[in-house]
Amino acid sequence: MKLQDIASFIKSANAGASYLTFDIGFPSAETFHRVSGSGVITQELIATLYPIKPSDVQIYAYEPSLVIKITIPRPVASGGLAERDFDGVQQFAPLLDIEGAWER
Amino acid sequence: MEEIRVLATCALGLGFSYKGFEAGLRMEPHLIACDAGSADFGPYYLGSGQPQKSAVSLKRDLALLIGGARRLGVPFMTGSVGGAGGAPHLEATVELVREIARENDLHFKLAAISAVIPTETVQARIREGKVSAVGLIEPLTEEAAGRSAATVGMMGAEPYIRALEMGADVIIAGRSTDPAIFVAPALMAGLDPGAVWHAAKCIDKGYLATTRPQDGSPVLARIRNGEFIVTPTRENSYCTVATVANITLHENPNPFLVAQPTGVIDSSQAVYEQIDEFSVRVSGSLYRPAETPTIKLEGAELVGYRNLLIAGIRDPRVVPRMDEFLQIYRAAIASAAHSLKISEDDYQLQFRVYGKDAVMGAFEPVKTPAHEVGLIVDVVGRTPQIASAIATRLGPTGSRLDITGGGLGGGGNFAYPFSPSKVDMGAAYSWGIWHLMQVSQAELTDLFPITMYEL
Repeated sequence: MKLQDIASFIKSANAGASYLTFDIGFPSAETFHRVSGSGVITQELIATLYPIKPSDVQIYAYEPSLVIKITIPRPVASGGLAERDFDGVQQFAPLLDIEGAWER
Repeated sequence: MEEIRVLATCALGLGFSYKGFEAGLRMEPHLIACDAGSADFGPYYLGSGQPQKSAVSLKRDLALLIGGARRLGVPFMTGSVGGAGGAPHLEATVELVREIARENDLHFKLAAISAVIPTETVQARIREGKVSAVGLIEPLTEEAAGRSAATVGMMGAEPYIRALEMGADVIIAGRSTDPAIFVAPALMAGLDPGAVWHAAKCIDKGYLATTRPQDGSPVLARIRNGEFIVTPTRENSYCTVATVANITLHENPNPFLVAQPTGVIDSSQAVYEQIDEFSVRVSGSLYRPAETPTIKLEGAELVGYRNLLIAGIRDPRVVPRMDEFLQIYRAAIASAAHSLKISEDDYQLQFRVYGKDAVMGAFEPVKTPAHEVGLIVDVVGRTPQIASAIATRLGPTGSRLDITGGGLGGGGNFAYPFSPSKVDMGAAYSWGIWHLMQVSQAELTDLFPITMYEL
């Protein structure tokens, strides 16, 4: 099952100019725990989707608003000459098709 | 039980519900405050000194907020004014406040707090090894600090407290951390910092803590020792555990820890409870003091003057070979620059290919080319004349570049939507400084001079 089919939203944004952060929201506490407890979303997995080291990936399970947050560093601060997306809002596409055995 | 109430709206200039604000005033806040800026808009505003929002929208919000505060006899504070919180932004905002005071016959003490950090201070601190990068960006050199067109430090609570001690009714501050704008009275009242700072963090985006931000409801935090309650002030607006908890998540690298100049707001043990349809109680929030205070610096560096060429390419013989095309194109521009006696150090050339990898760059996993691409050629020159000279060559050089071995037949590769095809984007800036500077306790106030005005 694809992550975009079980999550209620998947978005990306800058967290300051030197970090990119992804928020994956879930429609219920049950789906949030099913995915965050499944061990599928790991530093190693994220490092296969974005060209960064696994040790640079931060993953947080934020229960109060049922969001899995993933934060990665940007090697160059945003807003520079080679900027492609200075809010970082269109960088989440590789996360949509993450596969997991999350069917009930 | 001691309680301090803080009424907050969303970003200054974005507007808010008038009825919601009047209802908020009836809840008898001790402080009215809002955040006026963000670095999210990029370095252009700091570098150029331009305001990020229009004077008309800023004035509407300021007039209501200041008018309401004066009616109640409570302070009004705003920080990171003008968007970037630099010197011209502070000056322009103080001028708007003067106009509002004159036009409404209001009389009060105004404090203007500067966030400008002198370059020499930063350079001396670099020599002491007390400046570090945020994230993985390059360490800051004295030379790079010297190139900054404008440098600000994000002030914490101390300058706001000092301004209140000096008798200020209205505080207009330059660049600040978001929650620092909301904490002064509650900290001065001796309430526990964990509740005070986390409450400030939950209300610093105003209506974004409600279920329908588009309704523009201000929010009220009732702060007590060990807990706080967040409630929307507009009728038919709601705060939920998710919407309140989301603010600490929103655009922060770590949802549990939010760094401030003097410590870290730690919400990892916080308990969120929906106490009625509208309101959320939060308890268990902590403020962990840092051993050494730090101020986060932002500096905008002028990197040159930008010209763009925008063109579409539809040729199916060229679109799948864009990397090769651009390599040859770049070399041809380098020759043209050479013939114009422009040094390669005097300009930078970037290509953005929409339909290929313009949005994600090196992160783009999809390799299949589209049937057409949008090409933006971006030249940044050391002077406007250099940028323009190169840009004038971009069109003819690229459009006549034949990689099909004669198949172009003297035609053109570039479909221009606009005439002129060259666009002058003006000055271009980058974040030359995005670093943490260690400071002393006294510097938390001394680095942010306060000017008082009697209006």
